[in-house]
Formats: sequence, C-alpha cells, structure tokens
Amino acid sequence: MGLSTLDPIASIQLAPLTPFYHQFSKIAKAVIDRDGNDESYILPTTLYLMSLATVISGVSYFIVGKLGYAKVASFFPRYVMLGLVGGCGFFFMCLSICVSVGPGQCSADLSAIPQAYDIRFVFTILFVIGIRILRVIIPKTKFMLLDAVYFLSVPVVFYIIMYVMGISFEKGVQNGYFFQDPSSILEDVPDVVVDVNDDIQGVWNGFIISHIRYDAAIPALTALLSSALLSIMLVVPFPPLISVYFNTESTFDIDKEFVAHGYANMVIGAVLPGGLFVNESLANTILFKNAGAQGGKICNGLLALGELFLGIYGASLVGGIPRCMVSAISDSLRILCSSIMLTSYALLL
Amino acid sequence: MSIRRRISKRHHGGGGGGTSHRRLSTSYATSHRRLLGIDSSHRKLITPSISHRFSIHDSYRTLPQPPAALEDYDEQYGIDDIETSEYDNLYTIESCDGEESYQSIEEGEGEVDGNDNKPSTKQSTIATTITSLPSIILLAILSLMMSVPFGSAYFLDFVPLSAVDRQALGMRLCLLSGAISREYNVYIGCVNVLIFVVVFLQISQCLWRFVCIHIHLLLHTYCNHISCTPSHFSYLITLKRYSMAAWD
Repeated sequence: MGLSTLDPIASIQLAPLTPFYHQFSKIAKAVIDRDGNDESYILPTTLYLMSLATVISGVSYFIVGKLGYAKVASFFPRYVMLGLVGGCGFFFMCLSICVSVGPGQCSADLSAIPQAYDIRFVFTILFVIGIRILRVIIPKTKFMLLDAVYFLSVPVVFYIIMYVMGISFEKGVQNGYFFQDPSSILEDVPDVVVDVNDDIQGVWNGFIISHIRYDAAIPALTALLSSALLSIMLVVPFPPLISVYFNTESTFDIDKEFVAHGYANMVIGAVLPGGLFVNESLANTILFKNAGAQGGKICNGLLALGELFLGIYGASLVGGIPRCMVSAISDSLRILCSSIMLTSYALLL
Repeated sequence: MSIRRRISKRHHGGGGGGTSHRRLSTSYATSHRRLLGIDSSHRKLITPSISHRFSIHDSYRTLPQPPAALEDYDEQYGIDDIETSEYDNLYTIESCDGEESYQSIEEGEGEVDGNDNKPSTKQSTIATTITSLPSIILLAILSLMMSVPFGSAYFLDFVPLSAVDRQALGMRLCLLSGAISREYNVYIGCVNVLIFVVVFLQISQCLWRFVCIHIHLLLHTYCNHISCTPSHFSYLITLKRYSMAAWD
C-alpha cells in the first residue's frame, strides 16, 4: 500500500477544481429538469458526481504511480517550479485581501488588489508585521512554536482590542470583521428544502440515495475525466518541491506519492458523499513544519482527529473567529513562499 | 581484502546511532548498482543516514559481466586493484550482528527515512507529540479557516440550500476530506476507523432507509394483490409498521 514518504505533510482541496463542481451541479440540474424530477434530486446527484470525480482522479493517480509515469515531473525545470511557488505566494496575498474584506467584495485574483486599502486589511497587515518583528527578536532556535502561539493568540488580541475600543461583537459582525454572516443578525434565515446545518448527521440529510440520478454520470463524463486530468497536471510539481523543502530529494519517489494520492482520494470518494479531491499542499506543509510539527503517526492521527472534530463542530465555531486571523496566516504564507523562492533562486545562481 | 576495508569505511560514516545492524546478502554487482544509485529503489542506501555496517566475505559464484557503469565507479572510488575475474564472483555482504536479508531491504523494511526527526524511543515520541501539538491545533484551525471561503464556493445558488447551509456543507466536506486524507501517512488506525465508522453509519442509515422503503413497497404490493391469511397479514403489517417507523 503506497503511502507518502513526506512527513509531516498537510493537505488541501484543489481550488481550481471548483468550476468542475459547478459544472456537476449544472449537469445534475439539467438531467433532473429534463425528466421532471423535483429539486431534492439536485443535491444527491451533485454529491454523487463530486465523489465520482474524486474516485476517478484517485484511480488515475494510482495507475500513473504504479506504472511509474509520474517521474515525468522530474522534467519540470527548477525555475518553473520556483515560479509556481512565487505564484502561490501571489495567490496567498490576493486570498489574504479577499478574506479580510469578506465575501462578495472580490475574489482571490487581481481584482483583490484595489481592496488592499480597506481598513479591515490594515488589521491583517498589523498582525503580519507583528509576527515578523517577533521573529526577528526571538530566533526560531529559542522558541520554535512562536508562529503557532502567535496566530492562535490573534483572536484573543482582537477581542481585547474590540473591548478596549468599546465595539460590541454584533457591531463587529455587521462591519465584516468576523466570519459570521452579517445578515444572520439582521434577519432570519429563509426556509429551504433541506437543512444541513443541524449536526454531523445533517450533512447527509440532503443526501438521499434513492434520489441519486446515476445516469447523470454519462453527460458528466467529459467533465469527470477533465477534472482528473487537471488535478494531475496541477499537483505534479508540488510533491518534489515539498521534498526540496524537507531536504529529502535523495529518497524522494514521486511515483510513491502518486500512489499515496490515488489511495487517499479513492478512499475519500468512496466513503464520503461529495468527497473532495485532496492533494499535498506546499504552503500548508511549510506552515505545519515551521510551527514545530515533527511528523509521525501520532502527529498525523491527532491532526485527523482535530479535523474530524472541526468537521463536526467547526461550522458553528467559525462565526466567532476574526477574519484578520485567517488573512494574517495567509499573508504569512505569502512571505514564506517568497522567501523560499528567493533563497532557492539565489542557490541556483 | 582491500575491498572489505573500502566499502566498510564508506558505510560506517553515517550510521545512525542505536539503529539495527542488519545482515545483508547480495551480489557484488547489485551492491555497486545501489551505491551508484542506478536503481532508484535502492537510493536510500547512499544517503548519509545509512546505518548498515558491511563487511565482505568472499563466497564466490558466477555472475554476468558487470555493467560499464561499475568500471566508472571503480575509477571514481579507486577500486582498481581488484582483478577482473573478481567481478565474476558473488560476494556476501553482511553486517556485524544483523539478521535481515537483502530481500527485506529491497521491500523497504529497515529503510532509513530521509527525515531524521523520527523518534527512536517512547519518551522521545511523547516529547515529539507534545512539541507538535500547537502546530496540529494551528493547522486544524487553519483548515477550518480555509474551508470557509472554499466551502462556500462549491455549490451554486440553485442547489436547494440556504447560503448558510451551503457554506456549512462545503466546510464539512473540506474538513472531512482532509481528515480522511491523513491516509497519506497513517495506516488505517483507530482515528481513521473512527472516521470510517462515522461516515459509514451515516451512509448505512441512508441505505437502511432505502431498504425500508422497498420493503414497504413490496409488502404493500404483496398485501394488495395476494390473498393473505390473518396470521400472515398481522405479521406483514407488523413488519410494515417497523419499516415505516424506520423510514420516518
């Protein structure tokens, strides 16, 4: 059973696959409208197509890894890889702005740049400057967990600032400083066909197996295969980069990583309705390692347990977390990516 | 036995203290291929952290002609005092007190991981775990935070959910997918079994509903179209009631 040789490793969903998930919804709706089913069929069919896409991607990874074709990644020029890291840094900067100002204002691309003057992003910048200064004052050798402790204390500091300035939580929500939807304070949530926001069981309340339109896979076949192909193209450069960061290039085997990807995604798609494609994340891995993660089975197991816990209860917790915490982490990732790119580039020269 | 000295010296350097010393039986040509990194599956043997200590016994067998790369290797490392006929012999390379055979190395047992941060004792495992806890909490929270913008983007408006529920469902899919993807590094252990149990319970509930509604439909058809005795009827009605209760 092929598992990753990179440890500790952090994973993330592949954001560029989102348009495919939208396409699956559209196909499901088209099939259901054509045959006159009611709209309660849309969600199960969409989740089914999403799972199917993940399984197909997983199988593709597994086959490519087993056949040993993943080594084509070694033909990627190192400059191209460093460019990708730089691109990731730029993306994290845009994402940081986007998260700071809230939904509907911009997306994580160039359209986010003009929003950088928003007062909510200024808080982010202040917190990022704070960690940079502390990092200079306190070297990593003296206190390895500085990043983790600092970012976890951001909400506390933010609440203290609000208290000192006499701003109530409701006022903060209305001004868009928190993840909680401002409209949830002003008005009641409208009635919907299915409600998934009750508990963990509620995730699958809308997933009624008898309401799945399995034949929707036929019109969705092109999108399914395209998503698998795109996922391979987008993921190929990153595992080698992570191995560069870990300094384990000599023992790194990308075919093994592909098999690990395949195995993980086949499991996700098979057991989780709507299971999303997951890949090894360079930025999250850097943050994870930088924050003091040592790896090992216990470390990974605890992380799985933490994500499971937050998967169950996280949706109700997230409303009270300030946006500047996430955007500060995101902007710090931008700085880390930039430093990796510049350091590696200097070594190549 | 100059060859014994040279190869032993080369491998003694990076021995990770406290790791097992294995007996390694292999051919001379294979050992050269490993040292040269010709076969990628053996590359670990040339890493600095290798812990095997070799010595060579001269047990001879016939081998095919060595590849040209071996001669380059000999020139590079100065193994030029070995007669050509010695290439045609098989050497047994073994450690001082090892037990493992060559086959187990090839399958990956006892391979030295590139990461040198793996704890070797129980105490260091606990210490490592404690050290990792803040980073675990940070990454879990980061995953939660990142799932907010991503999770709210996965479902379009015509999916029959409110904006809040769309976001909640997307977030949960993100986090549960991430939790299951720990399979990158963890064998199916207790945490993952827990995940699977939770997920399968949910799916099994859906399946149970699916089965129940079909039982109900079958019983409905049976009772309507086939004559039943009173005993049969009461039994079927009870089953039907149970199935409906489960369905509701």
